[in-house]
Amino acid sequence: MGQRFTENAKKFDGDSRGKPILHFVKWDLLVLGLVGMLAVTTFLSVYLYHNHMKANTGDLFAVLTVDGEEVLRVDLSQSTEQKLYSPIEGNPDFVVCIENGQACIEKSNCKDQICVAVGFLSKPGDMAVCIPNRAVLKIVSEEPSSGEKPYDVISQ
Amino acid sequence: MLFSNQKQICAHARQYLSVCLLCGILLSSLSGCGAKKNTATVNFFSMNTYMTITAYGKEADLAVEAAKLRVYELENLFSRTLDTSEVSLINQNAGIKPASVSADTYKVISLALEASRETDGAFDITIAPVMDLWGFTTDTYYVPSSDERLAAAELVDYQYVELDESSQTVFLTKENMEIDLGGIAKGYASDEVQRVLSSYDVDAAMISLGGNVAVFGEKEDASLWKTGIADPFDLSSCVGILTDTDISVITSGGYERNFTQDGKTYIHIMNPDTGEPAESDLASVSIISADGSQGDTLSTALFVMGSEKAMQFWRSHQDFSVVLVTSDGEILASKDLVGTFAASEGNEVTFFS
Repeated sequence: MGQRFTENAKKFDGDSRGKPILHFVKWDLLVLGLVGMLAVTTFLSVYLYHNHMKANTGDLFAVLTVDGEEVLRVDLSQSTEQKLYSPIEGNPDFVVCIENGQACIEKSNCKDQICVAVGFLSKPGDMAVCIPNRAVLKIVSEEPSSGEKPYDVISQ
Repeated sequence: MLFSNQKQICAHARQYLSVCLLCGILLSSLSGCGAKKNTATVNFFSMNTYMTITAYGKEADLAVEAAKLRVYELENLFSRTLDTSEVSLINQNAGIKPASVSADTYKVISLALEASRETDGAFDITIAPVMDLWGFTTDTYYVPSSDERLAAAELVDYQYVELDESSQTVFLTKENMEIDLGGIAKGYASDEVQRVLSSYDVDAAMISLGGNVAVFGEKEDASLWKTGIADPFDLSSCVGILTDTDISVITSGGYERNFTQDGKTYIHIMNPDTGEPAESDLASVSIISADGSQGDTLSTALFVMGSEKAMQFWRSHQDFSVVLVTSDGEILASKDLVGTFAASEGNEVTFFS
């Protein structure tokens, strides 16, 4: 084997004065090949995972929070018939409606009625806010990257 | 034996190590494609609206919490409904004596008066008595008589506000006058939020203070932020999208708050000259600017002016960009937005110069 290394050295370089000379042999190429394959496999895995995340819209939920605390969570994929909820304790006049994969604030005891005027929400990130009740009804997705909106934020 | 002597073994080992190191770097950089920046978001109610601040970077968590506290701090100074605020103190002393205020209150009122001068009074913080009369402060709406409107309008004039820089005081010279910072407070807060976030190790942020938007830095995929401008006739969609960064985008429109009585709709944006809701041919005005305070004041002022005067105002200033949506649904954008603003599907934009 030692002889073969020396032969290779002569063949590819010819410089055999003093310093050790480095040259590839078949084992080196095998190791390089394996590492290269590993790199390509990793790259493909990451790439495919990202594409999968983008394509997967995930299950949608309607979530109501009051002062940041979650008081209602309904799986929209399970909703076909209309269902009404009064999730705020001591406030039966605040009503959330879930129907056909959509959600809205059906009724509110606030004066401005802005939250009711928003109407049905269906896409991830859609939101209706009731400032007097400090309540936020939002559509959320299990997959964080599944936004369907063409924008990141909206100015209104 | 593969090698003939010890030196060759060492050399070959080094070669292996180098190759492995290179591959290691390659692998880690590839897997880095999937790594996400540290992200933190706070959602909270303040200044009578709902706010969201999202930051990206090493100190994102600390930064968003500090920004939230800063907004609360400003709310406590600027609120008109909080008896202990500095704005309440100024209003309580109207026609009596000057009130000493903090640097923030002094600065925001200075900026507001500057905007009033710039817009010839189309933006005016002394509009408060008119807002009260129409019930927009309490959501108990009322259409006042012409005598009542006239009496309230008498109290509206930004030139009745006196500032003294040396003593840091604000004085409303007429009794019963009141100021309301609703048309500038969120813009000022947005600038302050950006300032606080920038003092931490934060690479990018997306701020929405009740629809007053500011974005800075690049998104995680190194692209620019896409800021939608709400369709004033259907708030669930947008008329167009701005692709840019390091800007604030502030929109005002009659759709935000209004009431209808006897078939007529009254909006919350008041004309300081008449003491009545602005009779504008505009449905919304969006100001794109590096300065949130400027954006906030100009979005109201240009709405009051109407489309012709608003476009004229842009021509004579050009230190901001603007998107106007008329009550007929026409979208007009200043020509400096060519390349950054695009109408949404089904809409058309006309760039004016």
